[in-house]
Amino acid sequence: MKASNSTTYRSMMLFLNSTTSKLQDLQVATATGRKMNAASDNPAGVSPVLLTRSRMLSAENHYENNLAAIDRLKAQDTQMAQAENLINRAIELTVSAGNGTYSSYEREVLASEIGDLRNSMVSLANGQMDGKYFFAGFNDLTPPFVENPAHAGDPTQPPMLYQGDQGRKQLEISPSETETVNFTGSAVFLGDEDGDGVTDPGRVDIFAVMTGIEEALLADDAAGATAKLGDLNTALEQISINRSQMGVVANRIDRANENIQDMELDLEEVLSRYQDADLIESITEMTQQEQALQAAMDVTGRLSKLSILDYLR
Amino acid sequence: MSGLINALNIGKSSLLDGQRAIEVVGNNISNVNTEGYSRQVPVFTDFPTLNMNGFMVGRGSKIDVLDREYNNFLAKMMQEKSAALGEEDAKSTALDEMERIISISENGLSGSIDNFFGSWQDLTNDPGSRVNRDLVLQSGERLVQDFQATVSELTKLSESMNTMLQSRVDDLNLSINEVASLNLRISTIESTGQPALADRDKRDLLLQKITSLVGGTNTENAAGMASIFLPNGLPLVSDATTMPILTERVGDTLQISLDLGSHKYELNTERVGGEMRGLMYLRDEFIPEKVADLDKLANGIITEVNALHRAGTGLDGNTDRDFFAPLAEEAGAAGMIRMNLDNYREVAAGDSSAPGDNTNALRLSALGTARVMDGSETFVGYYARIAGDVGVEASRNKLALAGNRDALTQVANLRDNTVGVSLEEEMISLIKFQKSFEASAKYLSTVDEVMSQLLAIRG
Repeated sequence: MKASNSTTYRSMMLFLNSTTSKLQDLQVATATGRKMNAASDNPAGVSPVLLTRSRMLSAENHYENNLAAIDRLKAQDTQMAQAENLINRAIELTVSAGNGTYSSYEREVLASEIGDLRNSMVSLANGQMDGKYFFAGFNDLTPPFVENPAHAGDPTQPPMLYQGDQGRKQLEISPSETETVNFTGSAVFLGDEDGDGVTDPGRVDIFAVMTGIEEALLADDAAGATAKLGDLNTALEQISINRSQMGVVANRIDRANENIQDMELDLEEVLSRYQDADLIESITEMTQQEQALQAAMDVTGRLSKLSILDYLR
Repeated sequence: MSGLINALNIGKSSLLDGQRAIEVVGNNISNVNTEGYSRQVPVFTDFPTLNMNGFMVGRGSKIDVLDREYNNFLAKMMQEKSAALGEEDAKSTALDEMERIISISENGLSGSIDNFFGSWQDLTNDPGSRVNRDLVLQSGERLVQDFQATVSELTKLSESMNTMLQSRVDDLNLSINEVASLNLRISTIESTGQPALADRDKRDLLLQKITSLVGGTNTENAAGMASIFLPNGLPLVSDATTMPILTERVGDTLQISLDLGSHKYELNTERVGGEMRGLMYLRDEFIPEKVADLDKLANGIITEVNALHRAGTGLDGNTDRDFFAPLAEEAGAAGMIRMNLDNYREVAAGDSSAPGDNTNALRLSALGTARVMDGSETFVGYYARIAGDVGVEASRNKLALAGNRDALTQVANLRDNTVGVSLEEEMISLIKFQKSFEASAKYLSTVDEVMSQLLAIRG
């Protein structure tokens, strides 16, 4: 068989074309660092890549949400620590009120200090962050505690009314865990965990206790005030139980975030395995293709120099 | 004397033959780059011998016919490969385009789905926030727009298939008419005993182009007329008669039919091959399939999101409200998906209207990872399957395209190496014919000398 001209030139052209197009693919992969730019580059990889991306986005959202939740829990923890200080101070004052040498004036001073402590406690209970009240349940745009006007006329009425609801906010802290991230004011301050409007047994309405002491002192009833010391201790316990629960939740969220970070690394790796070009590999291949292209060009040059016409005559 | 004149005649015939042979070489050389050209060869035969005074004397040579180097097998192979290559080639640009439309990038539809459920996830953190609620509405709007854009681009692609089919049909009608007129010329020329060399080359090229356009087969009858049949046997050209292909707009699609006079046959993927089959396959099967898949996905999202959203309560206390405008049926869902809500207060993040209630947002956020499509796939998973299907088809097409292109190149090389022009070969023929021309000239001058000597004797 002979080699016709069109075959010779067609072959040269095809070889040059295929080498340059391979080289171009490699150049794109090297420059972008990606080897999967379209579904057809690796159809089997489409599902894993898209699902992994989905999981990564969700993990990032979890992470951000968790950070915000931890921030809020930290702020609440600071509030609770202050509440503990307030109650400790109230215990000191109430103990000193039992001192028989105190005059009624001194008890009045004590009463006003207890009143201040109670007011501080109310503002702690109405604490907020970004305009959202911590202890209001779902009803977090309204201050959870307001003065009860009925109390002035009827001391048996509780001094503060709870306006929040019993909403417990669940947060998905990882793909498999949810955690309750808020504490209702009624549970923390009114000792009413189940939300039936009545203080649970073994719990106290902290405001009622403090108001009671203040009112007893104003009435110069030292014994009445010191009788409430037990209630104050229960109040301290009630705050610290809730505080330690917050700590537990914050810890869990912290741990969830550590797991999420690990998981993100794993997911990155999966994604990279499908998507990212191995630079060393693609640069090596590129060098190979460049050499092949040089060889092809060299052959083309030689072939076009070679002609029977040079040898006739 | 008659002997010497015969000798002169022999010299003349050989000089003329040499000249014609050189012309044939020249013609071959000048057609070295003509596509589909088959190398022509002069066929020398000797003149019948004459009984002269008891001697059988030859009377020189003549070029009887010009033969065309031809290989039927290779020509058929070229046609076959052209049909396969044509089908894949026609699909390749459109499939690239589909890959771009049903994209796997972060900015594609899968990104919008992720983003939509991600915005519900963000909302669980701060359900009362207007910003977060607005983000949910915006990401819903982006999802709606991405669905609509995807479907509208696919529709445009389908429409461009119509335009491409129309141009193929025009091309085909021209080509079959040309084949029919070449049929007439070839049979007229060849009835005189001369082969119709150039016309056959031209017709071969046309036949190859027609198979590339529409597939099918062709046969040649004794008179040298070619008939062309579509893959399922419908005739396109029968001797000098052509069956025109008609087009007609029916709704969104271009209906193509073959007019046999007595009856019109609608052409579908089963009746054509080549490029037209590739285009019809995409227009009538592949693209509609993917659009239907997208409809199913959109409908799934609309139904599931609405069901959960209706159960929740907005900040305004209203419940039982659809997030996306509800649709009557699945067909067309991806193109018709619309938002139903436009106010952030209507977003039902909770079971109550309390601003901190995130109960329903939690459920909607979880819907993003729930396997609700066919009970086994997540929304993104289902989308990945659609994109994967397109990827499989596109990568199969790339492989088939490369394979068929290689095969066609090989057959073309084989054909050109067998029947094409090689300059080296022509140069050698040229020298050969030149030498024989030289020898004939020398022979003539010798005869001339002999004759003058003879005349000198008489004088």
